[in-house]
Amino acid sequence: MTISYDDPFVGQLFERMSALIESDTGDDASAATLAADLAELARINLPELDRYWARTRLGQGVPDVAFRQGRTYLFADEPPTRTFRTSGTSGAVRGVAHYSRRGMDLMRASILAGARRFMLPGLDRPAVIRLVPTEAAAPDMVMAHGMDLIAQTFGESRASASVVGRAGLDLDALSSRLDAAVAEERPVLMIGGSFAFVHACEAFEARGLSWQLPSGSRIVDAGGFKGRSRSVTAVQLRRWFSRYFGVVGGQCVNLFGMTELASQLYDAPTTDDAAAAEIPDPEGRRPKGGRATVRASVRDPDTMDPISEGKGLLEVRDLAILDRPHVVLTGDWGLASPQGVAVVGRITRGERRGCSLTLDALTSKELRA
Amino acid sequence: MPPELSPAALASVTVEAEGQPRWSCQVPTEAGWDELGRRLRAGQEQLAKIPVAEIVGILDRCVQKWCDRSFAPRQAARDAAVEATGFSAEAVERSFDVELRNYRTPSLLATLRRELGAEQVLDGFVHSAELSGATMAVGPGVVLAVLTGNVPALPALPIVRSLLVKSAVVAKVASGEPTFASRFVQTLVDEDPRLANALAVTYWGRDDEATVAAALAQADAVIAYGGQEACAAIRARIAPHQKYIEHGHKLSVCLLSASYVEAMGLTEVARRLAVDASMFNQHACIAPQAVVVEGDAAKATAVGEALAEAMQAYAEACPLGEMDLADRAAQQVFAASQAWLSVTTDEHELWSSPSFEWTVSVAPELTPRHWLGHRTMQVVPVADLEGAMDWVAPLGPFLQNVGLGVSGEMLRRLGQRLARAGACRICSPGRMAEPSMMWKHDGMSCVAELVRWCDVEMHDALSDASSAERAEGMVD
Repeated sequence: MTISYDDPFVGQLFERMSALIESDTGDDASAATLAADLAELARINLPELDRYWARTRLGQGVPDVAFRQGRTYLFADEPPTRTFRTSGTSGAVRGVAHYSRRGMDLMRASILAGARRFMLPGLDRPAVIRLVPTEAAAPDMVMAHGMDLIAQTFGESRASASVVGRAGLDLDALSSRLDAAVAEERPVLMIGGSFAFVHACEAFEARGLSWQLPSGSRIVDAGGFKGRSRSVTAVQLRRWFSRYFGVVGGQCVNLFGMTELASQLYDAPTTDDAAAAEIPDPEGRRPKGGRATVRASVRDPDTMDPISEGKGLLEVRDLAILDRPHVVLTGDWGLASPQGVAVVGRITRGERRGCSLTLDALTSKELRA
Repeated sequence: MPPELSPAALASVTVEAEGQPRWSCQVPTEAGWDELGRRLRAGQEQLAKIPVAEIVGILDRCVQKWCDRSFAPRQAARDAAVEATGFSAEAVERSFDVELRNYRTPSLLATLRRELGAEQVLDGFVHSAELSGATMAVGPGVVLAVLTGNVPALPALPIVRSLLVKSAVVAKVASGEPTFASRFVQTLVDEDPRLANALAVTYWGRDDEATVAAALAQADAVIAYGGQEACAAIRARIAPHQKYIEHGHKLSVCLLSASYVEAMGLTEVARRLAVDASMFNQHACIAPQAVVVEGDAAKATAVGEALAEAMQAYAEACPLGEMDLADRAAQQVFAASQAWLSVTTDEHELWSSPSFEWTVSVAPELTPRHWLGHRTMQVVPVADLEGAMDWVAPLGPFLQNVGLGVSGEMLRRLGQRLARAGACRICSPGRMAEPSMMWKHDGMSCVAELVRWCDVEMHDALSDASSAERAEGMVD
């Protein structure tokens, strides 16, 4: 017997989740009760989850393969109103995340709450410049949806734009938008994938271009370098943000988001590089800030017990997810420390592997078609 | 290092790991490479005077000692390999046993005869009826062997092959497993001091371009082990006059027909697969990462279940050892994925020991991205065994060893398809981990590839009826 979408229990969950997102200061106890109720809903409507937990650990996050398989939606009696898909950068089947009407409301509320707390402080109607396609151009890309929403809600509409066209990142458009913001002395909130920023910075280096963006401007780079041919460290990226855009220190924020999640994790606010010196990750990836709605934790690679210090498997509990299991085992490394949890790269096999080939090392071109 | 090198030719390097000094070794200085090269060539000239049968004898006596688990240098090398690779002591011992027993006299002579026709061609001219003349094989003056770590005892192989063709060797050890080669070489020198000036073991860092160039400048031939990038970097530096033998990373699989499984019985099939997958902790290119079973999902599950038991039994006798953090985390991610798939579909199943001493999964298709090593086997059903070629053929350039559980006509037919697809070795399941010295490793005649031939033909002195005797008379 499953719980219907119209069941009052689901309605109450929705209300409690909305309230938590709105206040975002819920105490751990109420968040824990809500999490337990969401888990109960999930295990009743998705009996596989119980069997998964029996084989792993009670409450362990679902792996990304569950989303690629497309069987995580909880409400058989309520068709999803919206579906987002993963990028499929690893060449695998793309993962899907279905959303109900209420689920979309929760996601939007959580995106805005996170943005308000981590992106917008000190900014009034900034130029929201996205190195991400528009939602119209990429309707199944969750980041396009989220960034459009942030731009529409918080941005100055005339000065805000996506600078990704059909041919990819439009560096001329980005340059002229930045020029205009500088001329108007309007602070910029620039958002994009980490790799898009590397591409832009390298191009501006070649062109000899740089800007001193107006005071208060902020850069939010999302994700890391999964599936990319090369990567740079967080320290290097922040150096480039300073050199090419004049944006420094705590004004540079890394965002961790996944199609499988409704909420995002942001670097905990820092004011200066002294705080950065305390970061345990040698590449300078900062711990993510905590919110009652969304919380990162780390599991020990041997026991899968939660750990409060050290490196392990990143798990994210997102209390803005109504339609699917709300805990996700991301496949990333988490580095737990007293300052919080930093996301420090994808988990891949180690180096000690003898002469047996690892397929991670090959591109598909190297294998015969 | 050859004993007569001047002190000025040598320096010492200390290799660090995680900020701590781990080991150090002697390396030639920039100018020292020339002196080392001269010394090795002098050593090689001395080596060239030793009849090949005698060299085989030296190798045999050395290896006989190394085949004894109580031989002190072997014990020291074992302990170092345990430290370097994370293998359990027994896993290292078994790797040593399997590798080293190949270097005994019968196996060495059979290898030379298979590849060169007769071992005496290395000592001088040998009569050739086809030529109506005589032929002789000459090894390179100096071989540079770039070694890889993580497969215990493997560094002995290029050293043995080089000495068989009377070449001096500079072995460059891997940073992760630096000690085996030098211990093995020391035993050789102890066995016959005439080898001392023909053998050097050293190291340089991955990015030390100047040393690579200096080392390559001394080499007439290069034998390189390593991954794609490492091999490509060396290959790009090979000069036209240098012989080059590359052993890149490869993959292996096992294919079982339904009738083979039935005839052999699940328990025995599983025992054999467990040996293949567990030896070298699956770090070797000859170890299977997956087994394709003719039959339905239930058949694959039955094989998987039996294999899980056999892997456990193997692990009890020979534990895996320790994995590094990244591998442990990757195993957990894989286990979580497989756990989810196994509870949501009928096509997936998963068995593993709590600490990932071994892992067996069943999947509907071969997915090389999930081959994690460390005794992780994927079992995949296929309706008709020939259908497995759709999965195996794309691995072609990287396909090494196939454990082919079939009989009769099927061995011929499927064997030919596998050979054409890229496989370099086919054997029974259970024998994948123990290729002979005679096997054409990576599809190459690894001894013959080293030598240059000189033929005497169309020579008046050999053209009469007694040419055979005359040719024989050319032998020293």
